[in-house]
Amino acid sequence: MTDTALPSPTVSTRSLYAASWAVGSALYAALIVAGYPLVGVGAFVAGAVVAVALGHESDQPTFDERDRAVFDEAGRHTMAAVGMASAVVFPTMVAARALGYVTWPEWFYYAGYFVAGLFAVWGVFVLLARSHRR
Amino acid sequence: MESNLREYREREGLSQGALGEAVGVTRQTINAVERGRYDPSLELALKLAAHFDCAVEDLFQLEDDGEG
Repeated sequence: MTDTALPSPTVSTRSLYAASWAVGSALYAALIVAGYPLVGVGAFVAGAVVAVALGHESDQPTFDERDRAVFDEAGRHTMAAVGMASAVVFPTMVAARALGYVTWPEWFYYAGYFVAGLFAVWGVFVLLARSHRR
Repeated sequence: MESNLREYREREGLSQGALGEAVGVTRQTINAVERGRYDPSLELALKLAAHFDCAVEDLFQLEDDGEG
């Protein structure tokens, strides 16, 4: 029987990398809620630095082409979900507002700007990717 | 896609981690390729073929859909 089930150093690096981000982010949120925002920012930065250093110092790849494929697929689904939801929600709300059925809450403007900005960034990266593949 | 990667790897007595290190990917990726859960990139397939000194077709074949 082979030792294929044994963990490799890469597993530890990946786990530590994810744990560093998770701990830093959890402390960030907890310390903000507790009233120590600057300490929270420090904890987040520390977690990020540890994670990046772990990935940098490891002899083996922390993430590879399969991870990139997974992230690409998740990104595609995210953009599709946000795009389809936006294509329904925002025109519906504009029409409803024009007809006097609803009044927009302030956060809705920011949500609209965020979605518009998100797709603007996406469009820029689509153009860049196309230019690199010509 | 069907893969003979496990047979080639075990013939050389390599662990998944060792093979991954040799071709620059993680153990998890070798495991996923062997189980048919991930189709390797052309670059990885060529690296694996070069490592085992065989053709890519020796390691990977299109699955027979039974209609040919």
